[in-house]
Amino acid sequence: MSSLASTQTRKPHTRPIHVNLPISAPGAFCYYVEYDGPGGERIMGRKGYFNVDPIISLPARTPFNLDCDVLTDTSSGQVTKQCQAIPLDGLAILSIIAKWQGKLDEWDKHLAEASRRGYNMIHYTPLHTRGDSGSPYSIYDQLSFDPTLLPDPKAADGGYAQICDTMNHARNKYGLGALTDVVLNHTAHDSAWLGQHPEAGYSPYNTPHLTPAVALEDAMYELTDNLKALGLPTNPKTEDDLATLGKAIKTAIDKVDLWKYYVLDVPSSVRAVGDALAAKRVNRWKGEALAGKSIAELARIAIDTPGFMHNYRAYSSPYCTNVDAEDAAGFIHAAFPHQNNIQAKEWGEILDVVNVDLYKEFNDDVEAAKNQIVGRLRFTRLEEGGPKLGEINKK
Amino acid sequence: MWAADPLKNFAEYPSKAYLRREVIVWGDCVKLRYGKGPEDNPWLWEHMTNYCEMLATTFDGFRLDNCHSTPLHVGVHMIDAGRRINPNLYVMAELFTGSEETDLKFVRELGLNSLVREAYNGGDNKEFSRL
Repeated sequence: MSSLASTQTRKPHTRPIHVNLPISAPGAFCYYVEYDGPGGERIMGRKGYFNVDPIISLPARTPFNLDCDVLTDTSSGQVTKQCQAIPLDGLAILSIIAKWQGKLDEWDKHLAEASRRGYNMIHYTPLHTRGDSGSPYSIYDQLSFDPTLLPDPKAADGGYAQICDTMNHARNKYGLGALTDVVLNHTAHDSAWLGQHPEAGYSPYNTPHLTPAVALEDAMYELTDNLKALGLPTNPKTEDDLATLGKAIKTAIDKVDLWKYYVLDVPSSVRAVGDALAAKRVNRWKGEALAGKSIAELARIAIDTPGFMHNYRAYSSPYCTNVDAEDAAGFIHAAFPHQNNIQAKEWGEILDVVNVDLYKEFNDDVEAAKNQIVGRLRFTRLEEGGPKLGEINKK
Repeated sequence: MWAADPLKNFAEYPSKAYLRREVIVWGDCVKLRYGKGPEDNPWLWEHMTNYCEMLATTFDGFRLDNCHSTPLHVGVHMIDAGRRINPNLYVMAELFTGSEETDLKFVRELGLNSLVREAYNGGDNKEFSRL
């Protein structure tokens, strides 16, 4: 995308301002007008977009004669040496799953047939080395090609030249262009480079709020291992089976104490605040006036004041949400200035109020998790429309 | 994920989709973490840009797989890289955001030339023609 600045003049314009922008390449474009506002501030106008289509150029073909069997009679629909621009609506695209087609040097008859059928573009599913699952969309190495496709699998360039040759051959001999998938969202779980670059994926290390999700997942793995020992159905066939499993799943989830990732540790905090007050380690409260406010209002202020409550709803570790004792001491002193003997206890009551919504949120999340797990079991193993996977095991 | 907003990354905070088990897991894939830009994960951005540039030297066009789960700023960067190599790159995308307005946002910012849809999602002629 490119930008253009227009010159300013002092005279008020009575006609629309024209800006000629020669566009010399296809692609996505965005434009906007920026101008000085009434108060001297710079204002950016609304963005507009336009796309310019690419020009796809392919070998021209002689017209097809449909009175004969075009598949075997190659006298019509011949590929010429002359290239011409094809309107985008004139693209007839065939998808080919490369792994079912043999090596590159065995593709000829498939390309020939596609060409005789009038296609002018082939979409190839990813041609790269596949990961453990064998799906072309689970790519092991984005920079090299699948050796099982290559006549010379040991080529130093990873097969690049062989692929180029094949695409050129398909175009020149059969009039076929080539499209392929670009898979940006994910990579194979056993990718060649993932070990050296684990930061490429999401983990609790780089995305702390995933920590409880991993803890829950571990609990589910453990439950899976123990299904037989616990006398639970390993091959659920009925809703009753699912209900039994559902209960076991809930129990397993409860054991993980995920609620700790949400709430503040009230007894601990109350003790620490009591100690801080007694030792006069008090950071004076500098925010809005607190005296006379209700416990609910104080809870709201505690949550909303920047820098006061740490890791509120961060879910990064058990009891990650906390307030420094000295800060809390200052807060509670400002809220109950003449009632030294109840200050720590009142702090506890404020935290209890803060925790109410957090416990609600926790309950909602684990209930959702349990229902999703059971729902997935139902779909994968029970429902007529589903895959009916059978036995539950580590896989 | 069903009914996810494609403009929000469900692996990143504040989404709790993984904890709530709302993600449909493909056991053979690892979702890539692009962050807000190349500074967040330089090796990954460079690796995937090289991948796109290599493909752009040989192919006439791309099919963006799972476009609705790919962050828009990542798609823009990668397609731009491809278009620098092959200005006439044809770009089609597997895109179903569930909202025509969001589809439009992807189409105009990526410069998509066509969309790939699953034909069996059209139960009758009317639905089929809307795909």
